[in-house]
Amino acid sequence: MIRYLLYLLALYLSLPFNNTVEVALMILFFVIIKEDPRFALIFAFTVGLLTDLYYPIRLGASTIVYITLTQLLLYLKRFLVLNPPTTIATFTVLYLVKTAALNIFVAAHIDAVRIILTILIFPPIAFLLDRIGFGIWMKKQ
Amino acid sequence: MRRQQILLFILLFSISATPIFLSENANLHLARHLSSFLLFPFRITTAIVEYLAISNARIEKLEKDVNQLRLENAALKDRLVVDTTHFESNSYTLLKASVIGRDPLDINGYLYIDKGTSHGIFENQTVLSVEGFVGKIKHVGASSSIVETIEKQGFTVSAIDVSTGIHGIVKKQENLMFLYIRHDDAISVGDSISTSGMSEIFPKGIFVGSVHAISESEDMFFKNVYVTPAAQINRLVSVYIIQDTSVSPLRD
Repeated sequence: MIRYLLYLLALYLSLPFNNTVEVALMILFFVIIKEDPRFALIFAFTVGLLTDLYYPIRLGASTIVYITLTQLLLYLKRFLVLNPPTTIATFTVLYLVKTAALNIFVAAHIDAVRIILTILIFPPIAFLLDRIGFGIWMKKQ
Repeated sequence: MRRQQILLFILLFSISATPIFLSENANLHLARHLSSFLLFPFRITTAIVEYLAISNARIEKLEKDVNQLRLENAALKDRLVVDTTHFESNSYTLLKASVIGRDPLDINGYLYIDKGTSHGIFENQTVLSVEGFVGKIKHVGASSSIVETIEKQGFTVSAIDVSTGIHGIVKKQENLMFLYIRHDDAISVGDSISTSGMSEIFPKGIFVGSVHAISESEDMFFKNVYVTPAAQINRLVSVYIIQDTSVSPLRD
């Protein structure tokens, strides 16, 4: 429960910077990988909704994309062996698919710098969340 | 578990899809209502930051105003008698007069002013400037008077050192001197000298000048105390005459 509140707090704190580096998506990815699937879905809905409200393009657009990708990843998770390289690769794919989907769906602007920054910053954030949430650095599952 | 997850997904998907199919106005309306409470922390933070920014700007403006007022205050103090003297008055009034001339033989010794008996001026009334003590009325005409200033050779006024309370006499000799100060009197450079009131002419508490030098003399009892006059006589364009409302013009 405390961890759930921590995710929510981290989400709110990261939202103002989400236009530069998509920390919200990193947190969501972490939740999908580590937490209960139902919570992951609700959290995806929250992330999408808050993103839609904070960076308004079309209410519901990001929410649908986030929920769909979350459900997809929850399904694929059972087939993945999540060690650090595959985790980073999975996040990269998820992020690129999400960016492409939003671009197709609502013609959202594609910012190459943001994409590179987000991918580069993901590993330390994931390690940090692992450390804070579970008291470990990222390890093989 | 798996079924619950699928149902939850369908539910959330449906909720998310609903705004997509709403009209643009309804979509905006819904977004506004949702953001009013979901983004409440950001609104509070933004409001606080804006408030701090505005407060900061206001503080800077007020500091500027204060500095400006300080400058103005300092400039105004140079013009006000009451702010630059220790003049204590209950029954005195001040009459302003303009300096209309000077004695060509003693430029700073005598001043001609544009007030005379018709304005209630009589001999020996005390004359001030914005900076402090100037002198006394020496001669009165119907509409003009002559002021004998502290720069006139031989002019004397009984005075007191404000910080130590030592009495003496300020006299214009070659320099302006504070006389009858004993060798062991604790007078220091920078001390303020004001009228002592030990006189029938000058009221107590008018700033005469400040001690600028002290030297030992050959005199057995007294040392030399040099005073810088408060008023710069050669710059005066107007003066104030102290009128004692409780005293008749017969005083001498």
